Amino acid sequence: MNTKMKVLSLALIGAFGYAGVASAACPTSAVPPWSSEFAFQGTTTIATPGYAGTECRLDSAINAGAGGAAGAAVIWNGGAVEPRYRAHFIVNVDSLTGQGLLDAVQLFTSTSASAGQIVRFSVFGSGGGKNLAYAVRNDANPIGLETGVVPLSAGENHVEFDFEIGASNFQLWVNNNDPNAPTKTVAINNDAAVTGVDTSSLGLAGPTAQFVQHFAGTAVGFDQFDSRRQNFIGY
Amino acid sequence: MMKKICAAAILAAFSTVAFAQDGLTCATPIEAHSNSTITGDTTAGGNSIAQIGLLPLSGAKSMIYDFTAQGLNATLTVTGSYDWGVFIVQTCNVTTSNPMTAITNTDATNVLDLAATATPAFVDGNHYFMIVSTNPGQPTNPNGPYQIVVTDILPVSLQSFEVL
Repeated sequence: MNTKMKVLSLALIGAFGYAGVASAACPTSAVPPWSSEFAFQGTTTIATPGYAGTECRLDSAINAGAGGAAGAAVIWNGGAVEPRYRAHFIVNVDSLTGQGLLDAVQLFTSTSASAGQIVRFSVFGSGGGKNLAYAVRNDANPIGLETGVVPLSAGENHVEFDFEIGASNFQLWVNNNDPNAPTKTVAINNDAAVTGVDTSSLGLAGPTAQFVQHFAGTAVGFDQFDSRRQNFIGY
Repeated sequence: MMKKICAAAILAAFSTVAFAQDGLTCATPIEAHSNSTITGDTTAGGNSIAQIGLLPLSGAKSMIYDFTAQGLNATLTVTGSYDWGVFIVQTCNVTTSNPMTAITNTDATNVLDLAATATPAFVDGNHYFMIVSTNPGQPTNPNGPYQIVVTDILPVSLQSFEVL
């Protein structure tokens, strides 16, 4: 598998696409460059074509009969805690035809070894469209979380976020390539327990029972994962 | 010996509790009854729930009700003058469990048949929560007044039990 390295900054900490020549060059396994793979009641597959001009992508699907702990994802673990962490990925949810409000499934998480999940993206349907839901840890909020939603477009969606420990803003760009005008800016202030991002997971996980009922075996495609400490990634 | 069992039928009596059942938190839900009309305003609701399973509430307030299923065959008819959402969940906390069923202001209907739409199905004797909050997909006007008409049986509570 080729590792797609976008324009490098000194702070690049991980960039995995699925470049290669169709079936001849697409890797049979996502590991490496991903640190590991999680497939419980789900499957990950490397498929063609990729997104944004690449030849290969990651397909993730949840099996029929799966429970809420199911997942089919690849895991990034940089080996060090990252107090500031940016990540970008492409997701295409067109295969989830007619997705409803209750058909929610997780797409991405970033986790702190000391404090658990700190960033999570999910997708659900509403009013005929699809929505990216975000949940970000915020110790300054009595309930510990900030949540919100951004509509997704048909086809490939570029998602990028910037998370930093302490008093800062969580910033989110969805199909938005302007580093100075995030799609969402959310004030957060996390306490000392959150030392930063240790791992990230890209792929379907934590499906609702309704998602399993309606979309078991339906693959959702991902590509162009890139993570850095500071620099805007963009596309 | 004749045994007489007086089980309640509809509209159970409010239980006497030591703390206010104000609907602002999962610990203080308001009991929902069969064949009743529930009115409220989430503007005066609580901030204790951040998301319904994976669905974000985007900082909207919530009012929390509860009931114990017993022969449940109720429908909810919901009206509201904001971007509302009504969710039935099994566990209630800051992130709750994924909803068993739900209805929002952007759905094609404002009538929710609970038993016909719930996944998993309701189990007699189990405790459930009904959360009134915003529409996760369209939280533009996230708080406001609502009315929920409960038709047919939601909970059946035991009012008294007597052996003669």
